[in-house]
Amino acid sequence: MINKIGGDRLLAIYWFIMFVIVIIGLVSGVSIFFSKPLDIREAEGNILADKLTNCFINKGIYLSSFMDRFDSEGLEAVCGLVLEDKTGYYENGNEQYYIEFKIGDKIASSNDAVKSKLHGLCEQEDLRKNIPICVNRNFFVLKDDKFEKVEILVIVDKVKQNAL
Amino acid sequence: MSFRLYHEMNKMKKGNILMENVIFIILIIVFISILFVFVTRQGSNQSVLEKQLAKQIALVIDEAEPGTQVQIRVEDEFNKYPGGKIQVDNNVVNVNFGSGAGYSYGYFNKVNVESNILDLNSDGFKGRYLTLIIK
Repeated sequence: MINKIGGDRLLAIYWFIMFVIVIIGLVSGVSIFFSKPLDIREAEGNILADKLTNCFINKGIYLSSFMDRFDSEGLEAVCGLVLEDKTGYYENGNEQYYIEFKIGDKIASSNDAVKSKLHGLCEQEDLRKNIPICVNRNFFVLKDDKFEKVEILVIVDKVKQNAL
Repeated sequence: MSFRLYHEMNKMKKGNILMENVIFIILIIVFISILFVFVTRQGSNQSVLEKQLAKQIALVIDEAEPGTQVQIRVEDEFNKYPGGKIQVDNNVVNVNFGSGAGYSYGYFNKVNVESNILDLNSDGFKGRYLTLIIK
């Protein structure tokens, strides 16, 4: 009889410990999951690359005036973009996006000042830890009746709101 | 020990076992209920909803072309936080369901956006919606 009561108590303690372990696991799992911000930078980068593509291509044909306008007016004015983060989360709001566009031997970029800061980080992307997201696009367009290779690189920083 | 005494003891023992089991089951139900409430609250707390909605709206605006009208259902969010505010201005979306500054997220599409919270009751749209008119 005494042995049975002792056995029951031991079983109750064992059940209690199991409960505590399960609760700690669930609570910490849920908390960790919801404390991580929703990372939408890849989606942003893809939309930005689409916008840029639609900006210089019309029905698969390269708009020859694009590069000249890019040089004179700037990318933001030509493609209807605002590449500055105005939320106040970042001291350098105008350094949150970087766009590089290459057709043939011509290269144009949105903000040369950001190039050195963000460009090198794309190679470390497999680490995926608190670094900007890079989106690459490579395709061919018709330019002067010839196929020309286009390379687009879009980098979205915004680490504070998406990765930390 | 008489037969009657033995029978009484046996009944008491059975009663104890039943009581222990009932308490144990009630405790399990209480624990699971608390866990369920915790998990659902974590998923729909103010800060998470603000971030989720601000980012969703920013992505919708980024993707939209001028002339587009977008309706986003915000019925559940506004039922939970009736005094909530959503502002879209100067390339920033701000969602505020509390007394603080809320959560802001930027969008890069250079468009003018008119935003309104409307109670709709037409085909396919029933409830409270955030209406975005992209110009």
